[in-house]
Amino acid sequence: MRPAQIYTPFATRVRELRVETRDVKTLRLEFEDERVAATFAFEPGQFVELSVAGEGEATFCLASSPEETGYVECSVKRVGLVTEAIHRLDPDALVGLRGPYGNSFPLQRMEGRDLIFVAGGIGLAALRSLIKVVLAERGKFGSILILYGARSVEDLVYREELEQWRSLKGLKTVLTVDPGGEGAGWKGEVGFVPAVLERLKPGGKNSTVVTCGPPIMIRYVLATLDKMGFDPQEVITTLEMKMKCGLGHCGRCNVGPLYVCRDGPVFTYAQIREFVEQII
Amino acid sequence: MKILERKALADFFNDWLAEGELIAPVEIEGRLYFRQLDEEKRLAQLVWPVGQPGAAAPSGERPKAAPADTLTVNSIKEFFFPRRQELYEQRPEGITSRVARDERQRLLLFARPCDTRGLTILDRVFLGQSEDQSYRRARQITTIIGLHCLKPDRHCFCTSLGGGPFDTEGMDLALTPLDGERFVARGISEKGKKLLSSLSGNQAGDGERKRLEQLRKAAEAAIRRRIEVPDQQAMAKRFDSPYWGEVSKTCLSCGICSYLCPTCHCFDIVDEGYLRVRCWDTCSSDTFTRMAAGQNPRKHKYTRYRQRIYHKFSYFKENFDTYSCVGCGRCTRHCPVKIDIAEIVNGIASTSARDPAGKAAGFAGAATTRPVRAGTKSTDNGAKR
Amino acid sequence: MKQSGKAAQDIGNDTGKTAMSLRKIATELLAKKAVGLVIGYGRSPLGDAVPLLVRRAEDAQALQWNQHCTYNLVRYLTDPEVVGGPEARGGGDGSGGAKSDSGKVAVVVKGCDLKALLVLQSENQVQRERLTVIGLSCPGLTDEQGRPLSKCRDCPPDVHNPREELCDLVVGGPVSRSGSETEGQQARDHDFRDVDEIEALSPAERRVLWDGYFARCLRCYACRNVCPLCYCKECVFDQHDPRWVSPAASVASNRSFHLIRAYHLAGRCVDCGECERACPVGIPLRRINRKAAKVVEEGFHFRAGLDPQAKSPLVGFADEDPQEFIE
Repeated sequence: MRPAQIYTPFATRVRELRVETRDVKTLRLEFEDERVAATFAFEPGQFVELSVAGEGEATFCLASSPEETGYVECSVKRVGLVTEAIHRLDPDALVGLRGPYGNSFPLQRMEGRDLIFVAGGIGLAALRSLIKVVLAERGKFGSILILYGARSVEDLVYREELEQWRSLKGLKTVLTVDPGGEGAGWKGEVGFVPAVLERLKPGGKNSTVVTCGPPIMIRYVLATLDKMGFDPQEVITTLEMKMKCGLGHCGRCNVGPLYVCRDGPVFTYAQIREFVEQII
Repeated sequence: MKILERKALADFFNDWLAEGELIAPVEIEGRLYFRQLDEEKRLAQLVWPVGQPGAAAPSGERPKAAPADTLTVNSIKEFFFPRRQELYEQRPEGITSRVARDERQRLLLFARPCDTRGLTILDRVFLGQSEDQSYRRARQITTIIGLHCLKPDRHCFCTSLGGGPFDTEGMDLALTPLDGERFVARGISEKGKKLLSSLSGNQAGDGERKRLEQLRKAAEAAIRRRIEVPDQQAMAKRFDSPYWGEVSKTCLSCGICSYLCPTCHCFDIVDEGYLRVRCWDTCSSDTFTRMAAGQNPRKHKYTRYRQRIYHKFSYFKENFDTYSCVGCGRCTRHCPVKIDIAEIVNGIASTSARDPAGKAAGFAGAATTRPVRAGTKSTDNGAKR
Repeated sequence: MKQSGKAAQDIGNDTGKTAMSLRKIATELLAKKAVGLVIGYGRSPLGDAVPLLVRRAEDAQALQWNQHCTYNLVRYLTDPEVVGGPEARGGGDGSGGAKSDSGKVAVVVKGCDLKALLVLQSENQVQRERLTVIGLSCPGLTDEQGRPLSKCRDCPPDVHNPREELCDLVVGGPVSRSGSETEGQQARDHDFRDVDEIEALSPAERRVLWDGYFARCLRCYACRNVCPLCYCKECVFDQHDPRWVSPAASVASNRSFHLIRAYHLAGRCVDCGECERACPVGIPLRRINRKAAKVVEEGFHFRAGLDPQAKSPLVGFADEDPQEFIE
């Protein structure tokens, strides 16, 4: 559904603003216009620009599954003006939504392969949509490992989903917190995500890795995966270079010949290898 | 090919003004700018080209003492991609689009070949994968009457980028001044051909055609400044060279080069109260890649200057098969510290593994007294559409 | 045009000879490693005067001095990417700017530029002992067409011949400009004729005049970025949380930009004129700053750039400050 004017957002209303951690909330939005609600479609990996009156726009990946009808969800970490404003929204408040923009995870190519999801902090939001779609069609994929870590126990997002995934057979869920972040009774791993990844030694020639997290984590994970011999074409990440227009026009997200908003935000490591320092 | 008299053109412009808008070079305090002619002063503001060097400025509709044959300060991009554009208003109650829908037809006069070619390069961005409707509308309602350059100045280097002082790419109608009173006119697009057929003038004769050819050759020969863009592989190899740190040191990180450039198109989206507004931005600025939480991948000046060069001469070429530069020279002409983009690009070839900073070694800042390789033929680096 | 340019230099300054002296001095300084960097003027292949940063003795031959050298090189003394500093990275070669045994920098200054250095000194933005200040006696600058710059018209002798006690060495002088005695006197008597001209207009006329200029402004920030005294690491106009003034170019936001900047420069601007020269659309920026300077002179009897110890009155508070306006 394309808007009449390319920059004018769709009007959506806040249905829910769930607290995940001290600085992360998950926003559930419904479209005001029924036709938009009926036709809005996206694929895991795509993003939207959400806007709050008077505060600005910011980029968020769509964290709900495309199969969930009637609403979309984004998880928002409070880091600046717009995210602060989103955290303070009342139920039914108006939020502008532009999108969906960008490319998506290469689901078809991932079929039949063993999948390894490596996420840190709010980075899990970028993978949540994908994980949900994969689990809904479990039979199409090989083994699944979800490795997720955060600074501390309190910073882990999607507790409910994490519990759910942990209880599922046919997939392995490993949670970790940074050293010092474990509370009493913590039964998961302790260690930075890249270190735990190395310890777990997952993999094999038939694996595809999908990773997202804070820039420094991504860098180390990519380096670790390199060391472990993963094919850079089978390592996928999603980036967050400051995007503004989402349309490949404003130039802000331009890195090398790539526009993160148009050629990404989903990239293979092979695609961005040369530019890693400029993006992450 | 017709010969049009100035009087005929002036009448045509006046008629146009009755129903539409006219955008043309206007003199303001000694400098030339493209401006929409205002209601009151109308055609009197227009600066007519003087014609041949030495030709006296004709009387009639009063041209100014302006350097009539100089290049305008601004390019024509602002009439298609405005400096500031209101996008929409978002209040707690609802969202309303604020993009104006222009109804009146526009005539854009005396755009130079570099300007019109620049517009076709912007088309690739704004009319490409995601189309900007207001840009498309602006293109639709505008007829462009281009003007050939008899007197390129020392900053011009269009010929080494696939352009030229007598080029017609992007024009609807092309005018070449023969003298202060007569112009050779050619319809280039369908729109332009139709327009030309409605203007009265004699067919160009052999004498005039010959004259045209003479003027063209003289104008092209007058362009001494050259740029030689290394091939993509060489560019890629030099990305990490200390050359970039050297040549960018005196840069002030302002926006003059980007804002005056016919092909630069970066912008920001900002809030003014409840109004969301799009405005020009520049990758030269140290806040361009700054993100909400404070990270900034291009904090250092040399990374930004390098980005400018690579975007224009490598990445854009890779994406759109043309360089994002038309050789108009505005960036150099108006840079407060005279950073010379052609010199910098030409210098890339001087770097090597053995001599990583090449000719820039020790000369942090603009170029040096070591000469540029002169006399090289124009290479068609800019692929024509 | 060229004629009048030449007439401006009666005695002293043969710019060619001065350039040669400069080169000799720079070569020596660099060879002896007394400095690691010389900031001076050069010439681009297109023939324009340009700022030039020289680090090797053999490259000092590229230094130039002529009447087109309008740049205020003091601007680069607050740029860590040029003179080095904790955050500086030179890119690639990691030179970080002035790498030398002494970490010292030589800078070539005309008298007008030097005033900016004095303000920087008074605000503790430079380490004077790290600098070798090479003063240049100046016959007056001209634009590309050879016309004398208006800012040079009233330049007093103790500016176009920089005061020796403020420099480490002075080259090319002394210069005497024709008619400069009376003009210098006028300058010393605080001639703000250009400001008075605008003050003679009614507020409505002034509004039309200035809004016309602000409508032309592109918000390129060249005026700010070329100014030696706009050295804030995060300029108020770059802040986004909160954003004080919209970066979109409109009369309203441009007016705010120029007025706020003028306030920040009041009592500090030395009228080097670089802002106006850099402006691509010909906004008479000197007049805005000179208006502020006039107010400061009349109210506080202070002029910026004359004394490296004296801070601008607006930067501090003294008991003797006029207070009649406080009710």
